[in-house]
Amino acid sequence: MISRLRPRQATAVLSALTLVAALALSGCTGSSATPSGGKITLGFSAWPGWFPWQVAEEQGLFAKNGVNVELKYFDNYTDSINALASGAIDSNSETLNDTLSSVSGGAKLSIVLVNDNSTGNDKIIARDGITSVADLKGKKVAVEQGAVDHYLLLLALQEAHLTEKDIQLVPLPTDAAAAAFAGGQVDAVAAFAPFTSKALERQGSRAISTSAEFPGAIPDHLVFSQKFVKDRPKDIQGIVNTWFETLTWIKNNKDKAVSIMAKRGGVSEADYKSYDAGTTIFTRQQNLDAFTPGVTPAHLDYSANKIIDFITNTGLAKQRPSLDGLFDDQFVKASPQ
Amino acid sequence: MTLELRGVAKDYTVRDRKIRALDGVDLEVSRGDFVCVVGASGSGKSTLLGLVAGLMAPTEGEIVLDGVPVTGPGPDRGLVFQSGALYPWRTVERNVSFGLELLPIDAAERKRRVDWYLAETGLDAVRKSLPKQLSGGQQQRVAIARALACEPEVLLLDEPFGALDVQTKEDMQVLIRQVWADTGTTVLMVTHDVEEAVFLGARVVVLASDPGRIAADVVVDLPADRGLGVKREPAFLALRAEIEDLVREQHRGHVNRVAAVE
Amino acid sequence: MTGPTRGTTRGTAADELAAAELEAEQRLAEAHEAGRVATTRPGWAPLPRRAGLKPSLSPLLSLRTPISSRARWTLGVLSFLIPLTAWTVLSLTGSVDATFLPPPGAVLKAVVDMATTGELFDDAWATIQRILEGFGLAILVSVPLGILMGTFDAGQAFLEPVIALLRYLPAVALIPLLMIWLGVDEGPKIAILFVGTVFFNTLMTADVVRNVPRSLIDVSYTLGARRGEVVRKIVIPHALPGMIDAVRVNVAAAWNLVVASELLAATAGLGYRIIRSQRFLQTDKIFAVLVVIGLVGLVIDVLLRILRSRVGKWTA
Repeated sequence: MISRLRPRQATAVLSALTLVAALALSGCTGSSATPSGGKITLGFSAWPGWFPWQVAEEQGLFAKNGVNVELKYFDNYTDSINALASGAIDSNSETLNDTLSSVSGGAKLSIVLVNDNSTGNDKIIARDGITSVADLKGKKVAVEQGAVDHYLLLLALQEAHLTEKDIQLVPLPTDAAAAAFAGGQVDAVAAFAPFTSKALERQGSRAISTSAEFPGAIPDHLVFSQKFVKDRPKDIQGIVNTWFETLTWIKNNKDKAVSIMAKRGGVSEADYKSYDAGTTIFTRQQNLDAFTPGVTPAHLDYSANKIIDFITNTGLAKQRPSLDGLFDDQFVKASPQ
Repeated sequence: MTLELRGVAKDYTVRDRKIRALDGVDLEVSRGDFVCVVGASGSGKSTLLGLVAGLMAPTEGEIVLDGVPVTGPGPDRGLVFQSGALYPWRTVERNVSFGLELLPIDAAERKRRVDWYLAETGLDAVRKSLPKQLSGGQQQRVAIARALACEPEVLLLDEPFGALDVQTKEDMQVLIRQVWADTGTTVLMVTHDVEEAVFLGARVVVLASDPGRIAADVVVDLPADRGLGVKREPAFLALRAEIEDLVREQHRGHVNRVAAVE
Repeated sequence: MTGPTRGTTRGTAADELAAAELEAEQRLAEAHEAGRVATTRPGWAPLPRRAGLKPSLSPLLSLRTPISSRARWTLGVLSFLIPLTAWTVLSLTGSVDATFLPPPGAVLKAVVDMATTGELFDDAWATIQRILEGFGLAILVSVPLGILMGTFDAGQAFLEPVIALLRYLPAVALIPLLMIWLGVDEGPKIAILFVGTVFFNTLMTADVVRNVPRSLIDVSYTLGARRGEVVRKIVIPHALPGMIDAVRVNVAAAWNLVVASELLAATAGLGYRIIRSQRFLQTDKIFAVLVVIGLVGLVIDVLLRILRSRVGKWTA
């Protein structure tokens, strides 16, 4: 996986810079307007809660629901976040905290669907000899800086009354971080499945903290730009409908689905099955509950506010993002029962 | 001091053809001699000097200096190229002092010697200049002073004034005769200019062409303290004519041979 | 005058001028013809003639003609002023989203902000430090190797084939391997800079050394120098300005590589700062860092030029 990654990392910088230059020259504003009825780009990266999109594509479920969707798989999760924020793709699969960080930087985004909640598949894995988060003090911890597991790491550190300054942060993309940990070059890593499997290959390693200990902290979403929601609601509806249909298909064709998703994730089917408990796919009802305002982590607005406090305090966001137009439940509401 | 070349021959390989540049050269140079070697193209004059300098080895025969065979270059045989080959990053005085810097003598001694040679070659005024600031004639003076400072047994000059204009060349000719008189150095000089060879040399050696061998060894019977005016005197002109005829004969032969090959 | 006229007096005057010039050329050609009888071979047709070069061509358009220093300065200033003006105009008219092309003022503010918090100096120093270590190491290795290759034919025969192969390895492609070998700290970053510059610098140094004139080396032997002395006192001083030129070229390559090297496991640096800024769409900061990168690179270049002219005072 590393070999797939490096040239992309290099081109990530170059593409960021040429993107700025090219768009400046072409005089584009914000997200480029997609021709109506044309294809829609849907970005996603390695996460058990997002692999169902792969199933949807391979089973032709997008077309069945009348939408022309082009899936864009990203080896690097942060690349996908940046691509949505700059308008290079129409939609992306992101966690709530990462979407809020993008919004704090000026992106105007809208969450239309909750794929799942992370209930254990985001882990902090440490080597033999480190038994708790408190033991991370002074140690080298590899993590993708600014993204979901950096957030999880800070949550866990806070619980142990530590801050980022108490550890030695080694910023690396998640797959490189997992490989660096497996190779013995760092003491701990914060990563998500499927890269957790790689990390756990290291003898004597174990997870010392996971997202299961922070319920509702890491929900995973399908996110569009607000402009796209305004311009092409019918297409978004089709995509949301496709999602639920896909979930049904997966339930009825478990083995075949696992085969497709394990392949996309680059892990064995046995490994993939082990991710079941750590990613809790949301039902339609759970979606409706999430979008409803409330005072528990089951409700997105509650979680969002807690996250906003956290990310502004820890520097993951530069200023408090506004929640205006962020949660849009019209599509889930209108999807078939 | 005696420099002897005994049966010296030198072959070159040019495009798979072996060319014999020198063949059976026997030459003897004694202390205090000023020997000029002239020859047409193809006579291997520069090869001869390169062999004596020790920059190449003879294919046959040997070169012996005071009974010791020459096996490589050294300060006992000082060399002056036509191009001067001065060290461009060093000033005039530091060029001249180069050879002395390699020897275990102290700075004061070195300075004394450098000063003397600078004065002898008329370079006092430009001692702090860089070579690129000097004229062609001045550069050659530096080259001569530099070689002389090492007190060589024999001073080898390879067409040293070939690139200079006529007036500067004559100045240099006067200079080298003066230096020779003042230092008593033995000089072996190669030149294509017969007039120069007759003016400077106590002996003129004519090299034949293809391959080079000694065609003539002429003693120059002219006064030792001659000035430039001697170039117009009958004795000079006669000697010059004689040697020029020899050289032209060699040259014509060489041209014909080259045409025949092609 | 046939053909459409633009109806302006200026157009007519230009036509008249053109006609007058044509006439003058023809008269010149005829005069030449008369004099040519003497030089042309009997029975041969006269050669067609070309008109000579127009003498009134401006120095700006003539080949290899120096221009006044005022013209030189003006052109130099314009090369910065024109893009800067275009940039300002684009931003002011709002034809481009500020996120994608921040106005020059915002970029300047970002530079000042980063300087005030000290972030700029921390980042710049981190990056410069990597260059000093990585490229410095490359110089330590490549200069002796280059001298070896340029002085000894055997050295060249031995080293050139493998270097010619290795220099085509893109340093960035070696990152995964370097991380496995050297860990996640400064090691791989310095190694990238080293690998990316050492081979080119060796070859360029070898070239410069090889171009020391043979006559200088030969004459040195006749002055009593031994091989080691020739290398130390003749070859190296002669090659020094050329070696500085090679360093100047390769430090630019190192500067380019250092940003790539900061993509992974960096916590400070100019390249690192660009990546972080990308995350929050802080393009004004990205531009600011780019400006700083460019300026620092320029300063390095100027310093090396000054060194080169000091050391190479003696070159023609």
